[in-house]
Order: sequence, then C-alpha cells, then structure tokens
Amino acid sequence: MSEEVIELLANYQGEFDSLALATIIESSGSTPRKAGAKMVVFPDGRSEGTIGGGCGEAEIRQQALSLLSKEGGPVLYTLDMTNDVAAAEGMICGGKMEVFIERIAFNN
Amino acid sequence: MSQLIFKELLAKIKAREKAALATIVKAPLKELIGKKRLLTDTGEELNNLPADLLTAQQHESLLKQIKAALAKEEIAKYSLNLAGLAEKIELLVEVYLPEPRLIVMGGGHIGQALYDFSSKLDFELVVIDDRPKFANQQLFPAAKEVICGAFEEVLSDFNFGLNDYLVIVTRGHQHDYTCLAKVIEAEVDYIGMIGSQRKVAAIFDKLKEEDYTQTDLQMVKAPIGLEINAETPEEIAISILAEIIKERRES
Repeated sequence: MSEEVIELLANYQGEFDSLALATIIESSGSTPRKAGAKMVVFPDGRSEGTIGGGCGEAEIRQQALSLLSKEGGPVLYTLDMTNDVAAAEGMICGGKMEVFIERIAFNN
Repeated sequence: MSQLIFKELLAKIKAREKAALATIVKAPLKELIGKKRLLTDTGEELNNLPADLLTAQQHESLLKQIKAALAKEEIAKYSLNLAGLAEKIELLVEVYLPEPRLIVMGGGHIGQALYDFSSKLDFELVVIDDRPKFANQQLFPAAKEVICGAFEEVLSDFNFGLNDYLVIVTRGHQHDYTCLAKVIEAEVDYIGMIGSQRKVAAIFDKLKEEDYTQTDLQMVKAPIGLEINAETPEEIAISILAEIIKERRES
C-alpha cells in the first residue's frame, strides 16, 4: 500500500518546502510494483516508499532530484526494463513502466 | 493546496471511507498537468483544478470518469476526450479502500483460534468481549483493537462499513442475539454467527418478531463457516476463515 507515503505527505512539516512524488501510473510485463506505487524523494536524496527498487528506482530518483533542482512542471517518465541496457545492468524483471513525477509544495 | 489534498485523503483512509484520487498526468494545457481531484462515495470532493481552465461541461466529463473509476475500485489510467480540447487528457485514478477488518465478538476459545489463524491473513483484527479476562491485549497482542465492554454499548458506538467482516462467537445465545440484533443492518461484507441449526432458527424467529426482514437475515451466515466437519475451536476457526476468504474473493 502507498498509505505510508500519503501519511508522510499529509503530515510533512520538515525543512524542505517541496518534495518530489513519483507514482507508477502504468506498468506492463513483469515489474516489481504496480500502478499506484509511490515514492517520495527529498532534495537531499533520501527517499521514502518504493516503486520497485534497483536501477529503475535509482533512475527515477535522479529524475525526481532534477525536477526539484529547477523550476518546471511535472514529468511523465517511461522506464523500459526490456532492453539490452536493462539486461546488462541485471534488471531481469523485463517490464515497462510509466512514472509520473511531480513536485509537492508545502507553503505553510 | 497540494498538501491539503493528501491531508484529506489520509483522513478518508483513517475513517475507512472509500476515496478516489485523480491526477491529470497528460494534457494539452500544461497548467492542467498534476492537478488533482479527490472524490468519495458520499460525493464529497476536494479539487485543486482551477475552475477557469476547463468549461463546466469538461469538468462534468472528468467527474463522470472519476465516479466510474471509484465504482470499479481499481487503480487505472484513463484516456479522456474532453470536448473543446485539442488532445486527449490522461488521468490516473487511484481508488483507496479500507483495509479488510475482522471483527470478532467473543474472545473465548474460538475467538482466540480466529486470532491465531487470521494473523497470517491480511486482516486488521478487532476483538470485543465484556469480560476483562478475555478482552485483553495480552491475549491478542497483535490485534489492532481489543475492546472491553457490554456488547450492546460497544456495538452501538462502533462504525461498521466497507471491508468489515463480522464474526459472532460469544459465550452464549443471549449475547449472540444481542450482537446480531445490533449489527444486522450494518452495511458490511460479512456477518456470521455461530450456533446449531436449532439455535439459529430460534434467534432468527426472535428477530423477525422485532421486524427485521428476511433480507436482513439472509445476509447472515448461520450456522457459520464452510462445512468441513469441524469439531475443535481451531477447526471451526479455519472453517469460518475459509468462508470469509470465499466471500471476500468472490466479490
């Protein structure tokens, strides 16, 4: 369940005024987590929740950090774990997933 | 505003209400991307879509889609044609349902066996008994809630709803009757009551005299459990849980 992440966002009163939220919106083939799975990325690189771990998650974390580091809207990111690179990196899930990454601002 | 919608969603989850969180993930107008709308079964909603970005008709189509998704109780992405927009928008709708909850009335032998086996299933467990010796957190350490009090009072205050599974296994007919009368009209997923055919018939007769309808009674699984010739409390608990699993996965 992504309830822990919802709880974190709802109750967040920490030092940062915005966090990035990554949500799997669609997955096909064999992926570790399904639509709705969520991860929050903090500007300092920490994260909470998981969208599947491994290289895929690391890639999304990078995208999330780059979103936080500049102005700009949410992005849709497609992660393809079916290609050769994935195989070379040892990602054997062999699926594809689409991830929505957005900035959640805390202006209170 | 964006935190507010998560606060609201969390409140709905805690209150065990069904809720849909919709997020626009693709749209021809970039101002629309990332905008969210929260909708519950009762029609309550919170919305951070700027009203002037979409026409009333476009809002209406969006709402219709979210309602349909809420009824389907799934997490899914939808492509939507909004009249007047150059391209389709894509909408992620996440439906949050309450965690399944097993509410056991009676902390005796069967209640304890239910606790033992259900801890392996993904139910939150609530145990209710009027005897402190049985309504005891030590006896049910992993239970979400152990409530000690007269059944009638405890059940009057209890909020039952979606994904609740109720098992009536108190120590006596009188208490079973009290419990059943209190919960029979609750909109839950399962109600089962222990007892022989004869005892069940007697309790049902008494309820009919009090104007409960046949439809109310039909919902009650009594005698409780799948027929597996269970004899011991542990076997009976397994037969009850088997029936609950069947109900849960059928729907």
